[in-house]
Amino acid sequence: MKRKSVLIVAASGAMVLSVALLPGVAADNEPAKAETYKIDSVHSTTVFRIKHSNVSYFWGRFNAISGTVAYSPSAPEATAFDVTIRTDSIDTANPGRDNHLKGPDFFNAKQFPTMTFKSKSAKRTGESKVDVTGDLTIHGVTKEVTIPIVCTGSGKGRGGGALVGFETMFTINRSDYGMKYMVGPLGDDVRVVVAIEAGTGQR
Amino acid sequence: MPIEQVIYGLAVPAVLAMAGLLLARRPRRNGLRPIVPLAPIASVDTLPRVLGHAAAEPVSGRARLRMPAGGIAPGCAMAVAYVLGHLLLMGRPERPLEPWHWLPVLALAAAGLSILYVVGRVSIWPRRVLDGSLYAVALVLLLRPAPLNTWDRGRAGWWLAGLWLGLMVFTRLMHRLARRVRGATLAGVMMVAGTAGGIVLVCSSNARLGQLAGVLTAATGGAFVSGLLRPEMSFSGGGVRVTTLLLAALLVLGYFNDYTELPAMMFPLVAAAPLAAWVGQLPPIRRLRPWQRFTARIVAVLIPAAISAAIAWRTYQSVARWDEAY
Repeated sequence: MKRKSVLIVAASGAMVLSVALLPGVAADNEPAKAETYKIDSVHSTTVFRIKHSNVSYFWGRFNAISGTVAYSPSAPEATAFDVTIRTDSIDTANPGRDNHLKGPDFFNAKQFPTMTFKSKSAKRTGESKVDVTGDLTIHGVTKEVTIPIVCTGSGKGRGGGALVGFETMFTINRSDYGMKYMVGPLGDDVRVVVAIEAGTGQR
Repeated sequence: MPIEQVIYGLAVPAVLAMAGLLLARRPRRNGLRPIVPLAPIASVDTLPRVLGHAAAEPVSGRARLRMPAGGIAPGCAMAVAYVLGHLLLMGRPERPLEPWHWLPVLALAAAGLSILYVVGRVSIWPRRVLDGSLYAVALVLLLRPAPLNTWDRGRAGWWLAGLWLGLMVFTRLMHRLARRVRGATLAGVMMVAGTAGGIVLVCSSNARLGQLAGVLTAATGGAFVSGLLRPEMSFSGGGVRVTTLLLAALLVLGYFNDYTELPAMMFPLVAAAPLAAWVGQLPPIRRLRPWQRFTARIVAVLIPAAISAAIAWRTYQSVARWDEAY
């Protein structure tokens, strides 16, 4: 009887030990590590919308977006964005207007060549949805903003690397960022839509 | 920008400058004595000698004044008029984020130096050192964010040195000229240059800088009317110091922030246009009646100013035709 008890205790101990050493169980106790993806500037888009003459909206885009995304589907709180957009890549389908927008009246692209968003925290808000809080820097002014981001999909790229896509839409007041020229004829609030494709492969 | 704001932004400085100069006391001699007239001028072909003589003054260190400086009134009137117009058009001042935010500060600093020179009876060399320091600080403030941030030290140094030297020579020549003319001439010269500068700046897609050039034009326009009403008015000293610095600052900013296909020469051409007023010192023109000399000077300035404005406008139109105007 005594010998049987010793065997049961030993077997139980071995089971506990083996379960504890299983990789999956050990991983559950640690924070999930997010994969880092590089933004694919060819398949990522930044567009904005602003009201003209208080009548209609017109749209423009920035053609140069770059940066990295850290993302894990199992740990949305680890999502992190570091995005840079070149201000001199503005494109509104009118060269004269583009020159004006690059100048000191608006973006002042020589003094402030980039706009950036660097995330600080993320909070899961639903299936494939996170609210990301971070520093948005435009025109040399940095403000903390929280923007809703949706993961629009994931998969494999042509080179075999992992791909992931995101989209966000948010509104800012340009005057908050020191861009106060022609507020009135041109709206103050600007809707921004960013769609990102990022991958682990080289591009 | 509401039209009322533009009207106030241009009318207020004009009225203020005019009132300030009309109400100012007649300038007294401030310790600077007229000594020797301009270098002997024999014929029309001596213009290079005239300009060379004027340019050599900073080196020679000798002040040769034809008439007393304008006292503190022109500098104060121009600076206050510009600052008020600037604030009315651009809103209340904030922490300087962009170079043009410094323009009111530079205007007040130039006026402050002028007051110091008159009240403190500062002699020639300390004045030149202080003026040179102001111009150096102004250039660094205007260009440090861009393009100096993208240049290596050598290139930045050469550009700064060249611009500083150009600004020193330009302002010395204008100071010397201002001491030789009275009434509306100098204010008119700066008004013409400010108008052309504004057109060039607007055509280089720098509408805000163009509007600020409009404020400068309005302020000098007020001084111009005062000069017509008070023929003994002198614009020398602060008037020249403030307006030349502002004109040069606006054009330097426009030059380095031009994304259009405007020929780069348009900016220095406008900046140098006021120097054409030296034509009034040429013997055939000096012998003319005062109103004829005045007209000759204004026309001489108008020619390069109009050329640069016309080329800028034509270039702008070729890029942004009316049917594509945004």
